[in-house]
Amino acid sequence: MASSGRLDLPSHWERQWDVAFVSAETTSETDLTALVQTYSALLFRVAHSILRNRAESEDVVQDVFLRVLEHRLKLPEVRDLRVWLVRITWNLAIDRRRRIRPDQLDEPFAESLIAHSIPADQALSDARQIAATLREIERLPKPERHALLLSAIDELSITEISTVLHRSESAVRALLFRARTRLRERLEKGKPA
Amino acid sequence: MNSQFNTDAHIDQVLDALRTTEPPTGLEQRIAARLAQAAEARKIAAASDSGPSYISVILNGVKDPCSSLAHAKLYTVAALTIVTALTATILLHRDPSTIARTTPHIFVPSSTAVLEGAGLQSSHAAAPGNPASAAEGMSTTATTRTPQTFSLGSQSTLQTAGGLAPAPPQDPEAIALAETLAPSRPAPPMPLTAQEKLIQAATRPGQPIQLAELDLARAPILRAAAEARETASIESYVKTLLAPFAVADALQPTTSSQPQEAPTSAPAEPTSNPSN
Repeated sequence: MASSGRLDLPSHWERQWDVAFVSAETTSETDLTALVQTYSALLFRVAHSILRNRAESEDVVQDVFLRVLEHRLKLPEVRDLRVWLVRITWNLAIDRRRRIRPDQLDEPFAESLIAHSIPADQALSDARQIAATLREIERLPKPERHALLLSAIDELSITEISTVLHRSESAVRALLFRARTRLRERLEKGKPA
Repeated sequence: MNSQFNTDAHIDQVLDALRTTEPPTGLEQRIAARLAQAAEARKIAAASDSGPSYISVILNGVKDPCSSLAHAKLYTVAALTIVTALTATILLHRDPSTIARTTPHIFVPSSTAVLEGAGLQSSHAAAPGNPASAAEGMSTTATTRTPQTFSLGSQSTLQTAGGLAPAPPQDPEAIALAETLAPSRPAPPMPLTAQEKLIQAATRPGQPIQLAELDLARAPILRAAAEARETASIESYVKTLLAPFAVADALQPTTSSQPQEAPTSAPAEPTSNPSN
């Protein structure tokens, strides 16, 4: 943690953070456009890790920036704009996920992960395995599931995940370990002999 | 061991897929467009909101009279505009019977005649057939509905203040508005003339001869035609009545002559006179 209260981020992230924070101090639309260019891809991945649907994820990202537009006067008060945006995206995606049946989202995503070059029987088996994996991820305890899904986003560090989840870094690491172990056990148990 | 490896492979495959998801092309443009749309909507909403309240204006005026002078002017102009518009609206929507009494030529369709009847001078030369001119004529007609005691010298000022400014020549909305505001013209309660009464009396029974009497020029022709029609109808009626006898004559031609002879062939007179 930096002395100014900012998070310890990689250098390129720090530059993005500074650009975003400086731009947030001015409330013009040009600066909001800079925010969109800087964070839209990250926020899309955050929403997609929850929703697993591109259209729904894009809607969430748009809603996030609409929230930013509504609260643009409070942006200078935000300590960590990046984490703040990720947290808004995360909460909006979870809210949207509650309104949609998971099967509607997971099945097309699982089918999209199957390679077209493999034989049909193997593709069917892989699709079932991936669908089972997604199903078991959704059955994980909420803290473990959230930690696992946030860890899938490569741009988020353990520190940022801990900030989003309001937990310590060691707790996030423990959650990640337990989530992975529990997921592996359940998949092994559910796998046909 | 192999199955555990496969399980981990599937988990990593899912997490890698989530990690490597690329945003759709044009995402930033769509977000920017939606933000611009939302910002525009916010601007419109902010513009529709009222400005500073009277209380805040008064308070600011107490604090800083110079800064509140602009707001005070704005409110004064707005209040004057509203009062003028209300006055014009009330005057334009008065009772039509009052207008009929004050302007005797209100039912004359020509706007020029209306202006002449009201004693006004119009600068608009309303050409017949021109809808824009007709609209102007409508608006001037509406202006003449004010009583004679009201000064109409500032007609254009009144129209401008009341939101009834003369429409541009090709504005269909202004024409429609003028037509909407135009006064209704009920039928005058005039008594029927003698000729109308005669027509009414003649048409109700529907006698053709009486109808023919109405037109003096064509009366002989129509009368002759009507009399011929009546004669023909009488003849046809008589023929209908005599038709059975004609059929009987056709079937028994001799019997028809015998009765004529019968009286001639009277029974033989007795040769012997009983008296003799």
